[in-house]
Amino acid sequence: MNAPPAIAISGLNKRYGKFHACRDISFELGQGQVLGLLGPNGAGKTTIIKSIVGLVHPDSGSIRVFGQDALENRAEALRHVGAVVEAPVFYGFLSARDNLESLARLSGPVSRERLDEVLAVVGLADNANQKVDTFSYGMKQRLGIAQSLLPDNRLLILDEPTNGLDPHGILGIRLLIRKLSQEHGITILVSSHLLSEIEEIAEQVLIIHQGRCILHGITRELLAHGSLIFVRCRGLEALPSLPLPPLRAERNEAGEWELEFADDAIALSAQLPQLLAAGATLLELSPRRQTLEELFIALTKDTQDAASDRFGV
Amino acid sequence: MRHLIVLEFKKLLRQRKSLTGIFAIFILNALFALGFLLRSAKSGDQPSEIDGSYLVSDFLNAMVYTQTILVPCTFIIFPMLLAIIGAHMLAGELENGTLRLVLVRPVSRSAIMVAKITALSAYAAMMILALLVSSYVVSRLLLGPGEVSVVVGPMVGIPKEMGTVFILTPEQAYSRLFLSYLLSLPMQVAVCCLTMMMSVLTRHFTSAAVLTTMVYFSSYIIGIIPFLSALDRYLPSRHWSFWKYALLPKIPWDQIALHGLWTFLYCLAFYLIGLAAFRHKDL
Repeated sequence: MNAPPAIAISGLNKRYGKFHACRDISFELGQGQVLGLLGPNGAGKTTIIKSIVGLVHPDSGSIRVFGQDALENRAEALRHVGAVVEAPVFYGFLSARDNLESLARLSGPVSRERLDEVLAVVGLADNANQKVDTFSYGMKQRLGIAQSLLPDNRLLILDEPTNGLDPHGILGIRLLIRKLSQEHGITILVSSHLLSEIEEIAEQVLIIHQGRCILHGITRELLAHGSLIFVRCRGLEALPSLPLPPLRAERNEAGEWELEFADDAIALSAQLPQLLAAGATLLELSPRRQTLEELFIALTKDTQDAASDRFGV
Repeated sequence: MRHLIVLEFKKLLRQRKSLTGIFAIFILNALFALGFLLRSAKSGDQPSEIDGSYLVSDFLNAMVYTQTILVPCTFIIFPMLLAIIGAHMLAGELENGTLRLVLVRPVSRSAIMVAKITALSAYAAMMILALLVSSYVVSRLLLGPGEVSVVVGPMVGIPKEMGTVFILTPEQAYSRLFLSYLLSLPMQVAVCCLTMMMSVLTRHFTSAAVLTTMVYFSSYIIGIIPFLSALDRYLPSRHWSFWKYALLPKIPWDQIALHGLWTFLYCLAFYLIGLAAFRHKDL
């Protein structure tokens, strides 16, 4: 019998007054996988996360965690779920170990060895008895991940875990997430608007925009699907008529043409002779991989336009 | 549930602000000791005919001291402290986000409410016990144990129709002292429940603390304004301070039971209103 998905959401809707935070969100996350939840600020990422862990009550839809109905049987569904929602805050007057022990016991028994193991995994073994008030933001983020792992959680839900971190901190969290997934087989749902992060760590990506799911797929396939061929040439005043027009055609400051064609070698083989026949000198021909950022911006263009207007750029 | 209560209690004891209760007891003891010593140093005082307090000055001993110090603590100091600390426990944690640490765990919101009320009530019990022990020890060293206890009715809120001044025999004094301290706990528990309800309704530390103290003190103030006396029967203050009946020579158990029941119903109502709001709120 197949294991149930770690998370299965169907038709999730949530309104805050007139604001529709989630509109008919549906997705599944298989056990052991990493799903990146992407979206601009206010897209609805945190509302989805809060709905899963029971911090907000959806208006409609169903949420199942490891096969358990999280809306009807929340306690059982969250038995093996750890989450860091919004900022990593702790009881600053308690030590890291005290915080972890007290919180983990709310989910089940936890041994001292397990506490030490998790503290070592997140790199806080030497700070275990230090009061959390003295921790840096990055250390609190790591402590947040540690508490979400305890006592023996199989699903981690991390809401913007790299927020407020310096590049070293971001790299540390990225390596940690990869390690937890690959070495410990833990399922991870991670939200972020740092696209490069998601591209690096998530096998699946779900893009949310204005409360709607606008793209869901395997990260590698989405990026492969978005591959392009880049052509740079000179010697043309105007582009000749081509059987398959380029996706993008611009002249740079040097007067050279920069063209982007869909990644289709057969179609391209028909374009190039016509360009050369029109007098073009080929300077560059290279494959170009569309980044998640380009994909994201293309899909959420109206927000980007609004942002450009807002900042006058 | 047990782990939740332990966590709440641990948090209470490890925070500096929780030590303010002990500090308040220390300050009050110092003030009371000074007041009692100055009073006992005077001689030939003319007795006051207003409230019978001259009797207290004539019987300055550990029993009277320990019993008298309960009045400001149970009516003013402890409710204020519990309102502030309780508001921080729930509204404050909702504001600063630490409550999410518990809310994302497999525990119900009703369990969280019960754990917080239990821990805060245990803290109130701890303060009452600390007051009893410290005030008795201080007064016994300064004033001696004494043999009888004098109760000034109006000072502790005993209705005038029940009498003004009561003298408890040495056999009665100790048991009544303990009983009055014990029966002052339900009043503080009611304040704990009121604070939790206000914390959920406002989700704002300052508003919760201010509203709790406002409701609590307004209830007493309205109760003593003559032309608002028609409201008195509906005010919680009418029922919560039934510990005072333990100081009468003949304890009116029926009154204690009745007011105890009302206090319990108030606690239940505050808890249920708070829980209904807590369960349905998006956090």
